[in-house]
This record gives sequence, structure tokens and C-alpha cells, in this order.
Amino acid sequence: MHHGWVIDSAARNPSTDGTAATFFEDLGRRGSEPLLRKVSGRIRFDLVDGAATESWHLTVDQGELTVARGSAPADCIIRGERSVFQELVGGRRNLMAAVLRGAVVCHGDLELLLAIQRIFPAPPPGWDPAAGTRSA
Amino acid sequence: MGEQLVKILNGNTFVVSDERGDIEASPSDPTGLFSFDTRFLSKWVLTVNGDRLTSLSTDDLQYYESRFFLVPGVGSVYVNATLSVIRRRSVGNGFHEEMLFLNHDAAPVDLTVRIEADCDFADLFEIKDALQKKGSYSRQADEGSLVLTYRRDTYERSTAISSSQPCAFDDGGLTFAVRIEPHESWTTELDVAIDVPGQIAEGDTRSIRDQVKRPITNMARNLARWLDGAPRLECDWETLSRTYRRSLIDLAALRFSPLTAGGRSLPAAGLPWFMTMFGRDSIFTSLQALPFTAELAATTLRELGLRQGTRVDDFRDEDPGRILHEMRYGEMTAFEERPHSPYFGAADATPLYVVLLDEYERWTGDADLVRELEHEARAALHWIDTYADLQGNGYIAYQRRNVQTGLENQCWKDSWDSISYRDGTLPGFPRATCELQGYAYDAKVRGARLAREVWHDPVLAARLEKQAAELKQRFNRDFWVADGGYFAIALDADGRQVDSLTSNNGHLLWSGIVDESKARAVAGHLMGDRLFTGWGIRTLATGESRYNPIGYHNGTIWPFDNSFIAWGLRRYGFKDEAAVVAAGILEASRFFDGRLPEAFGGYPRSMTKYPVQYPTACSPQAWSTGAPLLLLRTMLGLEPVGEHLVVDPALPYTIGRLELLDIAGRWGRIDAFGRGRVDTSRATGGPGGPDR
Repeated sequence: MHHGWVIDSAARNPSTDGTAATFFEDLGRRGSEPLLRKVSGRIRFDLVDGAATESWHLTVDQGELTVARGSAPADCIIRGERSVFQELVGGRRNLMAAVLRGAVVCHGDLELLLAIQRIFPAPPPGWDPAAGTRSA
Repeated sequence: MGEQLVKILNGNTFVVSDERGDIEASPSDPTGLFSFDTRFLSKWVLTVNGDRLTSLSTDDLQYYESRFFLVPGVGSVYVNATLSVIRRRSVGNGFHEEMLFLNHDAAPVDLTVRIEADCDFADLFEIKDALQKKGSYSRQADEGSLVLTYRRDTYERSTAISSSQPCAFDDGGLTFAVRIEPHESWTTELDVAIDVPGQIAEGDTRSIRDQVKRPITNMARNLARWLDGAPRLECDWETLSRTYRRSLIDLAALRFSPLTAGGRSLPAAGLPWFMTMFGRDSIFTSLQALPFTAELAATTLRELGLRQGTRVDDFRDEDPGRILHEMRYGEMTAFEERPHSPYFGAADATPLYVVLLDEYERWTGDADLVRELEHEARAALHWIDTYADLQGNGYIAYQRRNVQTGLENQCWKDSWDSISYRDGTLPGFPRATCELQGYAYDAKVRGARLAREVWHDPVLAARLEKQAAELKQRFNRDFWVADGGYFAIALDADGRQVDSLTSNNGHLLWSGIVDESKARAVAGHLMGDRLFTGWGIRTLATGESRYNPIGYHNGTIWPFDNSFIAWGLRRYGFKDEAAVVAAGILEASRFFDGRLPEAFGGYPRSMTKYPVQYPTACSPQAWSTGAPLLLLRTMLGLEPVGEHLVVDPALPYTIGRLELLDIAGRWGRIDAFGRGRVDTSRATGGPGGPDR
């Protein structure tokens, strides 16, 4: 149906073992992301797990990516439960909906938030997030 | 409840009440205080000594404030009333209400003033579909306020009510014990503040929480500046002058500023259901308004570009390069029970995005924005040839992948029965409607110009031009209904023509895809009795099986549709016909105090004498508001050519003199003048029409 046109994008490559850590490590190895070629800035993901917080720091320079562990300062900080990030990196949850829901909070540059959501993978084909819970 | 609903708004926050200022919402009815697609107040009822009040009059001071003149009691008792009440309400985020009680009697009076307050925190989608809530409510009354809260998981919304005068708060509202001396008055100010405690998205300068708490600052000055910035119209046709002013004010009211827009605005689609970003509506309205305010187009292009599709997501009907259809912020979107975060199910917004980008540059000369959005425009052009070509036949077609909550018809005629054969049967999917091919053609032609002149990519330009020429040739063969002399509304899944005669033909003229040799026949149909009523052009022609003068997309007249058809007629040299359409629609605006509805009845003008409004929920509606602006451009024949603005008026003879002063663009500012000469008697009667 789509004539075999495949975009060269993070959206095609969910992390191999499905964990958020693997996802961010893979992102660092990829080096560049065409969907972010106009984007520059520092984004930090804070994954909260009980009392512990695991932070991933992503620097984007015109689409060139550098990933590091740790809680260095950032222009945009995206914080949520680890379980929420597990769903995000699996394509089973949408970041913008998670923000509306209060499952993820964001501080800083909101344009960066909208840009960075592009790195999360597409949902599995036919995925219906509301299956079973929809009231209409 | 009163017959007339009173609506005031500011961005995506609005209040809909009855003519007393009271709100008594049922679960399925769109009254209340709304913000971010959520109802923050569903009950707000004033009583004095236990009695409801009666409205004497309502004064819409500005789009963001209104005043209610009331007396206690119901029925005819007010004739002898010795007490009057004035409520003045303004919406910022939440609302502010000043209540003034006047004792006209020679004796003091003791009053129990009570406001009943409640909130269901309904999502607009729940109101539309009458759905049940899943979270829990709480309410907290103390000395200073009543706070109503709704929680579901991490999602939380609240409304806080407070008063400037002492009162007793309880779970159901607030009560004042008041004594007013003879010929004295008493007043209090009430604040209804909304909050989104669970939702934290803070920009460097603004957050959603700040936004909902933002006081109303300088709204009057902001409106005055907006009106000052628009070209000035001098005209001896009073209808046009009034409609022009109404359109500018309504357009100001419909401005919506996403958090990422740094305070800049784009047009939301309409009040009350559509106070949000829509790809199609925001683009069409920006196109209509370009000669009057180019800022809306720039913001629309930036914000839609920022949210352009990047994935294949079946739930959201998203593809890489696709421009969004609709963005929502309510609970059902938050919990992914609806796909609007955003939803991408529109097949026209993506080509129209490129059309707007080019038209914007032609007016403003702002090549920087064209460079800034080069990748977005290329991705949009790529979408046309790949994801949109569902059948591999070179035509844009649509078929929703979200079969639960996605849209069946992903074109502007989006109701279920809007696309039909002459005999009334409905085609299967995918559907390739004709105007989509016109928009695709126009996007390629305009994209080629941008590629050559701004992106310096002559290879892409040549390819797009070649594709456009081939598309035009194929289209004029495949969509042409030979025994009718017009274009079919669509090709069905088998490539067969969906052969009814529709207004879509006018959009084809606008896009330029129509062969010169066919244009006269198409214009003849548009201006013929089967489509043209005297007020405007019907969506579907008489004689077609589904024709109904009050059928939503099957016979009504849409002012927005007509404004683009008039532009299309002009494009192919039918100046007089364009003036007749403009005259008819503008004449109709006289019956709506200058505020054109979304649609009105397709009855022949000779039958009804006045345009019968279609009973739609949305008013004002952005692209109806923009229609008089585009008609004005069309009648004056305003066309940017290089660094100049060409003015080539063809005005209805009901207009003696028309001047549009200070038209801004890449030329600086230019004035346009014209005198009426076109015989528009089909739409206006004789010269010196009815309202002169």
C-alpha cells in the first residue's frame, strides 16, 4: 500500500529488548536523526522508579545526537515513571497524550518536547490503545 | 432555559449561558465554562430569595464580555419590580463576574442571594456522545472558596470559586445575606478560576497552568490594535462595511495561541465545538485572511509543521509528512480513547499546506519562512505521491485505518452521505474525491516555484512540474463526466466516476487543474439553476437523488465554499460570475447581522426571500468569517505579481464606490479602488439594491 517507501528514522527501530535504557543507548549509537535535523537543544529524560531516578541526557545539534547518563542541565526536562517510559519506547503509548494525562511532566522548551516526541517508535500495526477500555 | 444562548470567549476558553447568565448544563448539551476541551463549570444559577430571575436584556459588549440586565421573579411580575440585578461577565481563563443589585424602593430590603455551582468536568467528546465519566469527584468548601475537583489516575482538573464580599460557601454553592438601603446598591465580584494540577508543561515564558490562570490583560487594547492593523474599507454599500467589520472582530475572537507559538495566533475553527487547531480550517481561513492579516498564515504554517506526522500510526491515521486534522486536549484524548493527540485523518490538509506556504510568500515576500519550512513542505509533497496514493493510480484517496473513532470522509464534505452517485448510492472505500486532485496539482505547481526560486532545487522543480502536467492530463480524462459536461465528485475504489454534480467543481477552478477548454462548461454549471440559487452555489445540485435544500453537504450553501469558488471563477477569467457569487453571499450576510453562518438553505431565492440558516451548533465559524474577506479580494481582483499587487476590480453594480486602504504585503502598503459595474441582478436585484 505504501509502495515500499521507508523513512530512515527512529520511528522504525524500537529498542531491541524493549527497555528504556536500551532505547537511549541505541539512540546514542545511531548518531544522527533526520527528523531532528532542524533541532538543536538539550533534553533530559528523568525515569522515576520509587525513590530512584535514572536520567538520560540527550544533546541534539542539527540532528546529530549525543546521549549520556546523568542529570546534567537541560533546556527541556521530561519526567515520568519508568513504566510510562517503557510504554513510550515500545510504541504502546503516545507522549503528547501522556503529557495531557499528567503521566509525564515537562519543564522548559515546549517546542523541544514536540520535536523530540518524533524519536519514539511507531505503534505496532493496527495498535488500538483504547481497545477494551473504550466507552463508545 | 432562555431561547437565546449567550457565548463569550477568549482563545479556547469560553462560556455559554442562557440569557439570564445562568448555566444549567445537561450531560449532552454544550453550555458551561469550557477550556482546553473540558467543561469546568456545568451549573451556575443565581437566585434571589429563592426565586430565579428574568432577563430584560443582554448586552454583548465585546466577544469576551457580556452584561445581563435582570429582575427577580418569572413571568410578568417584573413590571412592578423594585429590584434590578446586573451581571457583567468577562472570560479570560476561567471567568470573572460582577453582580450589582439596585434597590429602587423607598424601603430597605433584605435579600438572600444564592449561586448554585457544580461541575461535571466533561470532555467535549463526552458531551457530543453523551458518555459517562470514569474518575471521581470531590468538593471542598471553606471560608474563602469552593473548590471542585475531578481526578482519574494522574489526570486532575479543578475549579475554584471565590468572592470579593463575605459569603457562606457550602458544597453546592455560595450564599450572601444582604441588606440594601433605599435607593442604594450592593455589589460583589466572583472569580471562577480553573486549574490543571496534574498537567505540567512549562515553557520558558508560559505554562499551561499559567495560561489557565492568566488574567484578562488589555483585551480591549489588543482588539483595537488588531482592527487598526487591518486594511480600512470605505464603501457606500452598508452591508459590506458592516460584514467586513464583523468578520475582523470575529476573526480576532477565534484566534487561538498554542503554547509553542510564543503568543502568536492561528485561527481556531469555530465556537463552541471547534475552538482548537484544525489543519483544514486553519489553512483555509489563513488563505482567506492573507490580504488582511498575514500573521495567521505564518503561525498556522509553523504550528502545523511542528506537529507534522512522522510515523505510521493506525489509531491516529498518521503517516510521515501528513498534516494534522485536529488537535484536542481533553480527558478522552489524554487517555487515548480518542485519537486527537493529534489526529491526522484529513486528505486535503497536506497539499493545502504547500498551497498556503506559496500563497503566503507571494503576499509577504517572507522567503525566510519558506526556507525554514523546506523539509516540512518536501515531506508534504512526498506524502501526496506515496502514502496518499492508496491505489497506486496517481490520485490522492482516503480510507480510514482507525475504524472505531476515525473519520470516514477525510475531505471538507465530511458527513457520512456527502459523496454519492446520481442515484444516491454511496461509493465504497478508498475514495478519491476530485478537489483533492486539484489541491495536489496546485501543491505541485506552487511547490515547483518554491523549489526553483527559494530552495534552489531546479531538479525538484522540474519533476514537480512534469508530475503536475501529467496529473492534469489524467484528471481531465478520468474525472470528466462526458454526458454532463462537468467533473465527477470522486472516483470510487474501482476507478468508476461518482457522477453527481457538486460545488466541488468550483474548487477545481481555484486549483487550476481544469483544462481551459472545459472551464466554460464548468462555470456554466456553477452559475446554472441547478447549483446557483441567487444567494450562492449549492453543495449538491438539484436533480441529484440526495439533493435536499437543508442537507448538510447535500444541498445547503456554504459561504466558505462559495468564496473559494468565486476565487476559482476569477482565476479562469469569469470576473462577472465571481462578482455575482460574491454579491449573493454578501447580500445574505445582511440577514445575519454580518456574521455568515456555516451554511444556509439551498432553497431558490425566489421561494424564500431570505436565506434560511442551517441549524448548526457553531457560530462564529472561522471559514465563514473569512469568506467575506476572500470575496472582497476576489471582487477587487487583488493578485500579487512579483513585487507588485495587481488590482483589477469587477464589482457588483450595487456598489457605487469601494476603497480598500493600506493593503499590506511585499510592496509595502497599497490602496485599491473600484466602482460597481457588473450586473448582479440575479443576486441583488437592480442597482441601488435593497439596503441602500
